[in-house]
Amino acid sequence: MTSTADYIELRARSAFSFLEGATTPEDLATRAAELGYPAIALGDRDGLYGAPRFHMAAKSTGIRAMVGAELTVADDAHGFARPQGGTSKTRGSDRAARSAPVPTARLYVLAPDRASYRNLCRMITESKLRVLNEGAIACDGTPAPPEYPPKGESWITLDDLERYGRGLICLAGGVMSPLARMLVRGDDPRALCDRLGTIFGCGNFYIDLQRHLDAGEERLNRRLAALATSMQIPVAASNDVCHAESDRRLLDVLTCIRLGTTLEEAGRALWVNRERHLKPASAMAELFRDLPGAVAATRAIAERCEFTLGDMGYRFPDYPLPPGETHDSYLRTLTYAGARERWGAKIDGRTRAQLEHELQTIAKLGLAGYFLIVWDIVQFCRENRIMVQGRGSAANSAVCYALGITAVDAVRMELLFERFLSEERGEWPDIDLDLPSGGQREQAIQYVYKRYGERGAAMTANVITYRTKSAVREVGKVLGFAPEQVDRLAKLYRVYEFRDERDDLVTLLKHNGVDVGAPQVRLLADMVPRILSIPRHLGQHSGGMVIAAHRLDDIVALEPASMPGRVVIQWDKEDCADLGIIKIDLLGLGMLAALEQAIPMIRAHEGVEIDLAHLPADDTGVYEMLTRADTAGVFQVESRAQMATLPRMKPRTFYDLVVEVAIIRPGPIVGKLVHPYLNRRNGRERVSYAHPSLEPILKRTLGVPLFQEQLLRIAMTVAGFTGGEAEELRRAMGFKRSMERMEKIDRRLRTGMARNGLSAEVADDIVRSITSFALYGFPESHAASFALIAYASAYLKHHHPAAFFAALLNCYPLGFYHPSTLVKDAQRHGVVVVPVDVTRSAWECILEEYPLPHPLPGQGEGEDTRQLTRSLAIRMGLKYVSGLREDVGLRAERERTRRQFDSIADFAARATPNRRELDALSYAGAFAAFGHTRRDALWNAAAVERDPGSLLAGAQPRSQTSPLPGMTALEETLADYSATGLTVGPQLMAHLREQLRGRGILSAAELNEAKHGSIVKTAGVVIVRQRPGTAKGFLFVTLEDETGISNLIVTPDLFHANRALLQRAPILLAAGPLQKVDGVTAIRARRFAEIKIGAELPQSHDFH
Amino acid sequence: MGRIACIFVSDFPVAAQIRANPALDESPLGIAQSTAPHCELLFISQRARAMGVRAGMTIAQARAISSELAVMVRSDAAEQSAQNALADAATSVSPVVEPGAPGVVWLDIAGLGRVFGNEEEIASELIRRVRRVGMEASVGVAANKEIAHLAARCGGRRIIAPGLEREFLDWLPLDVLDLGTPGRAQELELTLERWGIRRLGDLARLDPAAVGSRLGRRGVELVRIARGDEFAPLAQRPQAETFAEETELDYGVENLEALGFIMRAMLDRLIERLEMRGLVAGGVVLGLALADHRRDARRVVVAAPSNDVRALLTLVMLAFENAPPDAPIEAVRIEIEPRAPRPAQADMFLAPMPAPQRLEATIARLAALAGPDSVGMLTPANSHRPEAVRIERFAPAAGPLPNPLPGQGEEKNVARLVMRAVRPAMEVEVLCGRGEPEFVRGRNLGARVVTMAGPWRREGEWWKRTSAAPGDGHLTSPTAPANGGTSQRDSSLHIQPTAWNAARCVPDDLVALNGGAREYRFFPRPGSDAERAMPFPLGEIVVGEGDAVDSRAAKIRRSGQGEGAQGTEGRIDPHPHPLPSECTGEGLAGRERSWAGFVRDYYEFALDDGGVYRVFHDLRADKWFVDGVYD
Repeated sequence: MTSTADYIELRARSAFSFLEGATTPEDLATRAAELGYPAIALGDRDGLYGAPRFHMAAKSTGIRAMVGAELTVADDAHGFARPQGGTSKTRGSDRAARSAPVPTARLYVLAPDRASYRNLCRMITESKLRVLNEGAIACDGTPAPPEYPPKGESWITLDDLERYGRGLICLAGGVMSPLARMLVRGDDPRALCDRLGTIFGCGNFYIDLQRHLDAGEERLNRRLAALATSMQIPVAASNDVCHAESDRRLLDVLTCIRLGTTLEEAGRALWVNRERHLKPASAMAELFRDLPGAVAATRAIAERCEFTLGDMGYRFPDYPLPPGETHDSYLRTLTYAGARERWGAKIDGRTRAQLEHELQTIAKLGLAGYFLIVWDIVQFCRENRIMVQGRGSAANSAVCYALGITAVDAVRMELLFERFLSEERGEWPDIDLDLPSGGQREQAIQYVYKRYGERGAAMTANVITYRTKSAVREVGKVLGFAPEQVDRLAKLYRVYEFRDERDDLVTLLKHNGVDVGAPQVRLLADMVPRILSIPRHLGQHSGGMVIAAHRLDDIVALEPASMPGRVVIQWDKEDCADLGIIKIDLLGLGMLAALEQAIPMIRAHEGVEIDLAHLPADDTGVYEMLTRADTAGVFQVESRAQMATLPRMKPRTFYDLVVEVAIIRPGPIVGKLVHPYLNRRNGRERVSYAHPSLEPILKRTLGVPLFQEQLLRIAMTVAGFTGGEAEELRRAMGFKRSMERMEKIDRRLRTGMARNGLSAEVADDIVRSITSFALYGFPESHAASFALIAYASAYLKHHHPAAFFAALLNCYPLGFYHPSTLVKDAQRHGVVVVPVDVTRSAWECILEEYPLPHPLPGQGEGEDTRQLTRSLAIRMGLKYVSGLREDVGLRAERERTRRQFDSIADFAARATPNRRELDALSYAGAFAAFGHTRRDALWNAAAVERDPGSLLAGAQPRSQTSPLPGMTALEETLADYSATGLTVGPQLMAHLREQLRGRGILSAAELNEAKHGSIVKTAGVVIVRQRPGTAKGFLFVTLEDETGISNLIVTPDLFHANRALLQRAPILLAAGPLQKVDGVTAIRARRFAEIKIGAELPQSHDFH
Repeated sequence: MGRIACIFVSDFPVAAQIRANPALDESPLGIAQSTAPHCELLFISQRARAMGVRAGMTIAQARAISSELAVMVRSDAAEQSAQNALADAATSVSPVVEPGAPGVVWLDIAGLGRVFGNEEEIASELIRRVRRVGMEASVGVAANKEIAHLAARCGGRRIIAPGLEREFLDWLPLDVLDLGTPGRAQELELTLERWGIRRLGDLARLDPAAVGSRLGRRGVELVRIARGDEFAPLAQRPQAETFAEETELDYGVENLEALGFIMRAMLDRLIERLEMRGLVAGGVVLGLALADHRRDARRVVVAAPSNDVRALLTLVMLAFENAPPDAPIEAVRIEIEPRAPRPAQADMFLAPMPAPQRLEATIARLAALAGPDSVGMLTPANSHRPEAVRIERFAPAAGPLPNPLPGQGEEKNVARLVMRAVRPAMEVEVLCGRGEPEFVRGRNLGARVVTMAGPWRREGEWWKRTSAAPGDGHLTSPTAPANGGTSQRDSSLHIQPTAWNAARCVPDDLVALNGGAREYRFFPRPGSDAERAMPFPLGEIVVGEGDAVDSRAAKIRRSGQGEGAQGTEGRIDPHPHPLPSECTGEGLAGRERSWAGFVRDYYEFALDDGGVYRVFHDLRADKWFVDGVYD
């Protein structure tokens, strides 16, 4: 007799089946738990994408998550239909094809044990990494790069099943199964049944019957049941769940997106009803009351499927050790060797105690191998002169510092090791390594691939979900909005980080003339938020790598990344962390690349050897520069908000810089801690502590908690938490807040505080500050790591500005500012920047000796001028000439070393630019060395024959003075912007200054002289627009003129009233009262106008 | 010295489009190669320019500036028609005419003073005549073609008196020069801008040979034009006496009314041109480009040559009504055979109105009575709702009707069974006992349920809502129609209940037309009595392998019933699904109820009156309906 509780759902798919499922794994698990299922299986299409999230959610709800997958099968030779685009969008014009796609056949498998799970991972990996062009030869005779199946269109063959199918339990029913498709076609499926039975083995091959109240499906069930009887194949029941709840609307929308059609046109491409939701076991048992065996089979299968992702058998690879060493002993040896380098031969007691504590913890947790592997990567970087620095909580570790993984002295800075690693948590540590962005980072990544094998290492994935704009676009199309309407609706969402009620979709629609009462528009507003959490596709994480002891594809399925030579796993970094898979982040940092470029330049041109690890930490010049907020180009402290804080902060020590990096973050801002800290620092407010026991913890930050470590220490001090418990507290209050977890922690915290004699009021205060801060806090160690780079960049800017700016210009894009702003800033720092010159410029910007005018302005007679006659100048690189190809630039560089160019024609003949490139070089003034004005150069360049087939090819026309009119100064500046995106001559506003002055418009420098509260007008080129989420809708605009930078503050109302102008105008005129607080100058702009000059300027950096 | 006038229509592709679609004149317009948002605007109307839209912007950028911007794809046909019309306007003034680039026509006006007055008056007359053929033009008069052209490009009427040519040219900005094809022109423009050349005078001062070695032949031409040295004589080209207008449509026109609207405007323009030339229409040749890439050509005889647009349109429309094109129309060409005006004479061999046209007129009258969307032929719609149909143009197929859905072959081993659809579905009362239907009672029906299959639940069209409830984003439709009111035509609205009675016909008269995996809809076989009786789908039947069909006894014997039953574990229940709680309508959550669409449970009931019926339970309205009767 079948009990109503006998049914277990074996077949379900989540939104990780990408547009074929409409529920998140978490919702599915929660619903299953609500319905009282003891276990449930998830099998997404061609992958294990949703399995970790499902596993974690199921674990938290107390049910067992079985692992499965729905595999697309394709093998012409064995009667399987080859995929014909049914899984991908068919956006062709053929309406019939869109509405009736050819579905592909699929087999559903479950992994009952670890061995079969390993087979499943390998089989999916095999299908995803199937090389389609094996043996193909490229045009140049070399083997062609491998070509993999398009994303989302992999398939397995019967041969794959032969190799990897053993142990898996196969459910071969449902309308998409190959058996069903053969029956529909009228073919005899018995041979295929035989083969599948042999592949999966006796007792592992089932035909599952599904009942969705569909007549056609019921007929199929009869045939499948008859087939099962005749072949003696057991049957099972299943429901092919696509959505957890019975609401089908989201699934229909996703189906339409997948098929590239509208709801109106989709017709029978949508499921006939909404019966594919997770039903109570009793309802399923009732539905299959005529087939009790099929229901009982589900429980039998579920009981066999004991495997969960908690039992994957993942192991981190072992580090190859020298003879006689263990991981722990070797780590100890390396640590103490490094410690002696860091702290000198005599290591003090405190340091030694800390190292011992850490080494013991590492040994207890068995993590020595992990540290050795990270050390190995760092060593590789060092040996290959790749700058590398650990960031994040790893910087809390003295061992990491000793090993050279991080650059922050955790002992000296008294950083809390437990924030990084603790026995209680028993988690893998997370070490992030910053590398110079670009080729060197790739070199490190390829080293890891090479060292751990093609299938032993992979990048983590990044789950891409719908953004509001793309959601509006996709849902709009599905609802049948015209493309123009969809485009318009989506564009309305181009808003800044900050959003208020006026940025709400319905309000935006209303204000833009859309009838929000129209049913379709309301549907849009209803469906868009629902689709936002749905995964759209899988991307590649920016730097996370995972490695495994043997084969990574035993643990998780791999697939090709879009970048050649890269492989990604099907899980994102959170999933890896949840499942205990160790990730090492190899992150690219533009500033590191810039520093790395600057150091050799300084060595070569200034004869100074810079060691970033040993920079003087108390350079007053650097701190004065920071105090002046003269930080354009300086890492982490160059933003408008940082610049506004620096003069109030007045940093004098490295720790001040650590605070500066951390303080302009959402945590302190939202927690309203910035002003108290600055007020206390400037003596406007008394330093006080909620409880005397907090003084040692908060003393360095003047009683204001700014770092996560402080939060941890507070919990440890006032509530008696251990380090691990404190970290647990931080996590409980972090982004993934759970009320239950928070309440539990809150109780423990209060009990601890009461035990230590803290009054209820004080406890309330502390709990409040912890709760508000934990969400957005910044770890002190991370701030310290960043502060090191910030200090190094500030040091170079102050002492070696030429090399610093040259490197920044070469590493662009990075930071906040456009090269045109960086060039002007360099010039304001006395750096000579000289324009592109084909006889001197390399592809990148370089430094060169530049003769100074003699005598120098202000120089007295008789002074020794020999040392001052030459200076360093930045020679702009050819890469800055718009439209010039890199190979042409490099060729010019090579040809010049052979023999210097002597004319435009000579350059054209040897560097072989095309006509446009030659014109662009002429227009940029790059031929000035030949004595040509820009117009002369354009005239002569136009006369050069560039058609290689022409009779005149190679003929070098005589240079001549052109009959063209000369350029005005303004024209030259505009030509600079047009040809190179920047100017090394006068800034654009300098040409307008006279007119502006006549209208009472002040320059940025003049604003500094104006009085606080006076109504002023200023104008400049807009270089930054920002509307941060923490600024309550205020817009901040940064203007640049020939004297410097000025800031505008625009209230939300004025922003909305002048939205179009403020978002678009390249040169802005603004008026309003001047605000000067703590040396920070800004205009609270009230009126605006655009200044038009009829030329294109560099784009501003807008934060949308 | 000769005097040349130049007629110039600025933004000619825009003008040609507006001429073809006069309604566009009211809105800002842009012309592009396609209407994709990333596509650049090639030309824009004055109205669009005034709003800040510029050629070269992408459509998306332009729309951000002006949401009202209409974008049309560039139409060669419209431009050719407009160019011919320009030539007609010029020819009506002077016999010596040379058509130039699109939007430009030169004419020799020497000696026309006695007919039209001075040069100012001639220019005004030309502008008037061009306006009659649907465009706004400017006219320049000068000693040679290029200067006249440049003068015309300055707008309005501009007469360059002899001897003042150089002075005029020096003043002209470079923008007025036609620099050539778009790509090349852009390059030339950039070069000249970088050279600092802003006026024609700057260009005139350069050495033509030096410019030639840098900018090629076009450079030399430009310098000569700038110097006023271009003296190419007027090359009169014989004009074909062809009066044709062609319109390319952005979308396939399937509607005669819309076609009539389009053709009326075309005929208006053609007649204007004919009248300008003093001719009348002696015949109309119609050419249609159809969506399936075929062309449809036909000739309409005009027995009595006439310039009466209304009469011509009637003739043309009748020709279409008689034999409408069998695919949407994507381009229309009307060519008029011109005749010299003469008294009308009837064709003794042609009847004034052929009989088929009278028939068409009758159909047209029916359409007028019932509405144009209510007359035609029903075809199944792509929907899970069985009665969902759409009306298509009445066009009896010449050959056999196609079989099931494209790409779907006939299923093997499937017997066919015929069901007569009951339209509208007949509401009945179903009495249930222990949750299962036991008795059906309705008009002319009262019988016990002997056996049944089902329920088969069909639902959908949730996105179709009827009224809005403010605030919560959900809409309520407490009185959703029983058959799920949708935009798709419901046959029950258009077919008289008695009509299906006429379709009681033997199955041989029917052929399968359409259906899902196991569902067939039936059409009468062409030429059969059924077809004569009722040219619309009769209904749908769902049959499975092994189902026995006895149409004469109107019975279905399902597999699994009686002998021959198959099953895995004993007998498969013919109606395995219990009636869900929704059967009572109470199971539907309020949220679900608030959405329109339909949710129905379908059953096949064998009643003890010997009939087998398809019955559905509308879960929203909690009502039962008989939907079909199996023959």
